Amino acid sequence: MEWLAYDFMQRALLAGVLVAFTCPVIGAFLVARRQSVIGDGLGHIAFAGVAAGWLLGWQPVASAALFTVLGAAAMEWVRKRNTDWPDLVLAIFFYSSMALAVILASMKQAGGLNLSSFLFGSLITVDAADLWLMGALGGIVWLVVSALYRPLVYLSFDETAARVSGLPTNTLNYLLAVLTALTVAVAMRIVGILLVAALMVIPVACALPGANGFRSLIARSVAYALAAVVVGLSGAYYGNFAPGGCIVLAATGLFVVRSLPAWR
Amino acid sequence: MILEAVDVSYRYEETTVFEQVTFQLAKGESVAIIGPNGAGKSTFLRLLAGVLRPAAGEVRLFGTPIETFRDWQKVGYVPQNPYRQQKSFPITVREVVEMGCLAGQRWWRRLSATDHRQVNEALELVGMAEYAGRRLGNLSGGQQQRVFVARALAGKPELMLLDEPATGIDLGAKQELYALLARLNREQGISLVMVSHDVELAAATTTRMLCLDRGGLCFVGSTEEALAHSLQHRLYHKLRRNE
Repeated sequence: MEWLAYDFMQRALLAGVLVAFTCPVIGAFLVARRQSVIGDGLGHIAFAGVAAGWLLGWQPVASAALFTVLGAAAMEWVRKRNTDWPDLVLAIFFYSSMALAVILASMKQAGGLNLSSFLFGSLITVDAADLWLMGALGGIVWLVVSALYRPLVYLSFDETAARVSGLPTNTLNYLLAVLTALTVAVAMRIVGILLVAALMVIPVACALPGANGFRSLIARSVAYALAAVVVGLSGAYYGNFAPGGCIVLAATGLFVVRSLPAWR
Repeated sequence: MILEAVDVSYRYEETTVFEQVTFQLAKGESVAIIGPNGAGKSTFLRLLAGVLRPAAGEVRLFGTPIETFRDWQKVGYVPQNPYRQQKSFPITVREVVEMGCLAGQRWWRRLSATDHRQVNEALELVGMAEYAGRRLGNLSGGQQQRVFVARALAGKPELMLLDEPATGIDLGAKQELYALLARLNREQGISLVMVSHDVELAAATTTRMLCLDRGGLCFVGSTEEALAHSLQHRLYHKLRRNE
């Protein structure tokens, strides 16, 4: 663990731990609701947020968080009104966001924007301000999920029955969409916009087979995400690779190892 | 009356599912909704549960229009085929039953000691206490359906709405489930409204039957009347053809 002697690697590890503690918590709900790819689309919206933030002189994580929260709320609003083609609505949102991001990033004023550090994640560009913001956003996600754990599980498990029991299912759906958006903003800096959804989904996929209960699923998913972050960051440091790719491949490796007994 | 539907109609896009259905349920009664496939039985139950809104007419729960009704702890709901959709969901039996304690409560509150006691009582009532720590997906269809009945019971309801509770489970498990529902009605005084394709089993469990067919209510009366009525034979054969 000699890589921990460096300040930038300590910051990267801290960011990775924050991400590992936040992503699978929301990812467990998304996987349970068969919405595994929604984080991918929100990543596209975050990309537009980063580009807009750069142009406006805002902190990129903050502008990405604002864009993804607004985008997630809008997606939920449209999804409720187009129940026949929910995936089509999501696809239109995602592609439009990517198009907006491409246009914003191609503007002359965005010349200094280091796009690759946001697209693929970066070890050296994570600064103290990013860490504070990631910590605050991750804290909000944990606080809300802790306070509303049972209603959110009920919503994800059986939305119709949750509605008959008097739960405000529309409000809870919006809330979950906003929490997903915040999680994307938290993870974006270290995993990268293109791979941000992977850390929400793959650790949960690793944890699913042996999980006895939803709490167990979340705890095990966080453990797998932490392992993927530590292994991935080591790989990124020694190989001089993009950290997002290393972390996600480490998670995929864990998934393959975890699934081997079932495949045989 | 704890449940009233007055001149209720429902349309899906351009199609009228049923029109001007009126139905009342007194405290302690148990009613089966029967009829051929596509008659709108489950739709009618979902209107009574507030999941769908009628195109015309009014639904009242415990004397309150359903739009302003808030005492949802008085209503237990068992949806159609819940386990078939959620078989792989990683959740324990206890976690499922605990959901029932949220009915009609502030959604951010923590479960109290009373809630935990009610969960244990509900599990005991349906005979699933020893399975509380097991993963739901590892149970048989009949056992899972008992868990969903326990979830509905955990909020101590006065009325249970069940949408084809015995669909997809074997005959032995069906008989046990209907016997359980009859016992809950008789001993706990819980009123029941259930959609059912099992005419004989439903008749043995409930005191009244309501038949939907051809866009409206075609029969409502006691189970004895229903069974004696020639209509029942027609219905029976029609249902059999649809099975």
